[in-house]
Amino acid sequence: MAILPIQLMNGLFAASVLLLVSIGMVVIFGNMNVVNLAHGEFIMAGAYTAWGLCELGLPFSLSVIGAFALTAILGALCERLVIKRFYARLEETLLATYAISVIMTQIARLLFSSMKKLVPLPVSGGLSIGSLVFPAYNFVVIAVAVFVVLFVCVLFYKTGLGKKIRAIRQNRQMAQCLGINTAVTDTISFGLGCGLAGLAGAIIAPLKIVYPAMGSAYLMDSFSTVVVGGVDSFVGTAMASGLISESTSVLGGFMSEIYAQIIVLIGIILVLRFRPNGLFSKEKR
Amino acid sequence: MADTILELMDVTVDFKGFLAVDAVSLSVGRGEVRTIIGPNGAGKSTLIDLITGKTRLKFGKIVFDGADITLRPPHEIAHAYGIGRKFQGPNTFFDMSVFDNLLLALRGSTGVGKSIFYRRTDDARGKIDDILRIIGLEDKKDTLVSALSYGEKQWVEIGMVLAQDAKLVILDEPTTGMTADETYKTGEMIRAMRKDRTIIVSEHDMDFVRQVAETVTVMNQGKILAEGTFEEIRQNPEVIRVYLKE
Amino acid sequence: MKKLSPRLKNIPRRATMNALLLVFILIYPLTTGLYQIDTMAKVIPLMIFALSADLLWGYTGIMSLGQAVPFGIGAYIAAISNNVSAGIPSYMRTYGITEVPAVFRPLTNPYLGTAFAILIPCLLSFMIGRLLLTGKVRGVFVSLITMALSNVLMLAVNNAQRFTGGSNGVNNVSRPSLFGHILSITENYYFVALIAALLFAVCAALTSTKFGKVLGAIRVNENRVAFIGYNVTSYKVFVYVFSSALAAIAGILYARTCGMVSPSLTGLRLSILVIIWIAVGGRGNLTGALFGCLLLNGMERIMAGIIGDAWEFVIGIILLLIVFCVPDGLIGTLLTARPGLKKKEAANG
Repeated sequence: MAILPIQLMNGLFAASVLLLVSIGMVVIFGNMNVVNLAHGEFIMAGAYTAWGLCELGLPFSLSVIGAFALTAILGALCERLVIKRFYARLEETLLATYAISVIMTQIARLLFSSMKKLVPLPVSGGLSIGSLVFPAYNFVVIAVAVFVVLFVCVLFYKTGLGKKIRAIRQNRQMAQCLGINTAVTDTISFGLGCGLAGLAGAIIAPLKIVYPAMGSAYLMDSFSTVVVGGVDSFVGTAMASGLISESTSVLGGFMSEIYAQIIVLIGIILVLRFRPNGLFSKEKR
Repeated sequence: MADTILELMDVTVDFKGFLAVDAVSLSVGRGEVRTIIGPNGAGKSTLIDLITGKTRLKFGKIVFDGADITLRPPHEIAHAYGIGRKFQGPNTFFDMSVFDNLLLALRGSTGVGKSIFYRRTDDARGKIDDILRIIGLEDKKDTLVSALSYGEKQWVEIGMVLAQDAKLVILDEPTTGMTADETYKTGEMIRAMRKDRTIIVSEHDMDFVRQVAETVTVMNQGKILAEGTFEEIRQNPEVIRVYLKE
Repeated sequence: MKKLSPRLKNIPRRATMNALLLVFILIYPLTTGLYQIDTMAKVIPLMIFALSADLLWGYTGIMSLGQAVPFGIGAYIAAISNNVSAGIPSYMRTYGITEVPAVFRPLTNPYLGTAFAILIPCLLSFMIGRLLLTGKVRGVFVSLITMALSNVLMLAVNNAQRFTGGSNGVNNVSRPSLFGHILSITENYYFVALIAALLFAVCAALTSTKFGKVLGAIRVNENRVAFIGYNVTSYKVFVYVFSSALAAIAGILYARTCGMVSPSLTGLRLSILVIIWIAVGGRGNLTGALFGCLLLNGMERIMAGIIGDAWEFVIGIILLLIVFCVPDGLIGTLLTARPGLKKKEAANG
């Protein structure tokens, strides 16, 4: 009976991918209450950066770091120029970030044409668990996902910067009164969120095809994950990634994937209706 | 009490272990002006939220004019049972004229179909004019609410509650942010509107309480501490200890 | 200082703009060739679509990013109905289907087909509305869920090739017919314009009633509305379903005029585009939605020939400019602009 371990490993892998593409959204949506419709485009930018740096001959690991850095800077720039003016204004934020996403896609199209790019797998071969062999890169993805969650948790709950971000989330004016430079902190956290999206893009680049419009698919996935997990919870998002990827893959075994997606969407609507704070967060007053 | 309009029986609100309102029983007679006072966090606003359906109670029962209104939705409490409410701080439709604010609040035609085929009658116009006179904004009826002063906005909301033609009017700290002069005018408004209505006011300003109050209920830490006339309350040692001394 | 509500003072100015628009639409066919008339006849249904989104977003403050769902479903049902009423559509034959599938059999009657094309989107919206518009779900999630719906519907339409023609869509849809006569391009233009004018009149009447005021009240202060006795949920669900009906009618007319439908009619892009048209024109006054739609679609059809794909880029820039510089939209700003008033209003807060 090898079905169970195969499913378990594949589910873990799919959940790691989902977690990676969603974690930046938790930072931006959950902690800054900004809906970033350009989230997918930052993933795309990260993927292109990784591709470009690999083409230049850099090792994959450095390319990933480069992708993180470049998209973080790009994100910080967007925050300074655009997002900053629209805090707490949902509709304008949606329109402005949609504009950014369109512009970024178009720039990618101009720079790289619509041709699909391939990033070679950085580690080939497989690792075997018992009698089963899995692609080695899958383990890399899982490890990176675990590392990123730990990194973000430590950053948010153990460092001064994290405390500032959380203080601003709870009470912006009070945080200002306490001498926190909210403008700088906002820029850093938005940049961090975009950087994490870029990192995700770099990590998944060898698994998928890199093309200008690749981002839009990830936008919906990450929103669903974040919503189910409770928008501001890293652990909740991790659990939601597992739940969603498992249920999609299990349901996909019985029916076509599109119906599985419809069922997951209905599930998400029901979660929102009856547990607006996500499945895994404690009830708030 | 033969003519009780509102009766709360052992109502309790539980915010995750914190009892904001703790087994409160209260009855208000028809035509009464009841003032609820108490320090911040005493549970006054929560009590009002309970009566108007904004907050759900955990235990207890609320009876209004012979009908059980426990856990009914806010629009039903407002429309079908006739309880009007003014919020703490002005809470109006700021990009509409004073007239439109009052028109919307006018009793009746609240259903979707009725509002589509609603025609303004002379009767309605007369009613709004009366209210404009009471709240003293006759010459500002076409002004956008956003262009009014803070005190005037509060009056618009009082006018909205009047337009609702409510049997019971609940005013949550109606004088916050008002000048002494405006506060006095508000007190007179409340006295003028009481004719055929029951009024509950939660308040901080003691001069104002003295001006409008008949019966005063003092709340503290989610419970009722004392009840009586203004003078009785003022001399109640318990009340002096927790509240008046501050 | 007596100050008139801008809305009261604006009525003549708005009426002038509407009249100008009407005159333009009426005389446009006299000034140009058949190709342009047909192109314009495709834009007019989109104007109805913009009206539907303006009722929802501009008036009531519900920002649905899935307005293409009722539009697309309406368009698809109309197209399939038109196809199956003439026999087995060719795209179905390629999948070896030899008789009309049972689910499509009612659509072989064109009248029933049109009825279903309007009713099914309404029914779907009613169910979604009952779940989402109860005040328990935050506005941002309403936007996101409707966006997800649009996304999933497009995937579904793409995948159900046997029924929807997949990415090729449904082709060979005929123009509307009246009294057994299929309308010519110019007749169709006036037919579509007539329906648009009627629906505009309905929207204008609806929004000028007390009902319209309640919608505005819900937009600015939803919580207060319940406490003066209105059932906010039933108002929101009503508007949502009504605007879905409008979008579905727009979809039907669009499908019949274009002669084909494709999955993009159900997708996220169109859902967001309609919001952009309204943002450009100005929300909450119907006229802005019409002008925004006309302006951007006109520009798109002119510019796409010159700069091709880069039009998307232009859309992004226009959108940024609008949210930064003209937040009330072009028409919205025109309607409220009165010399000397801006400063006073700012001073009053």
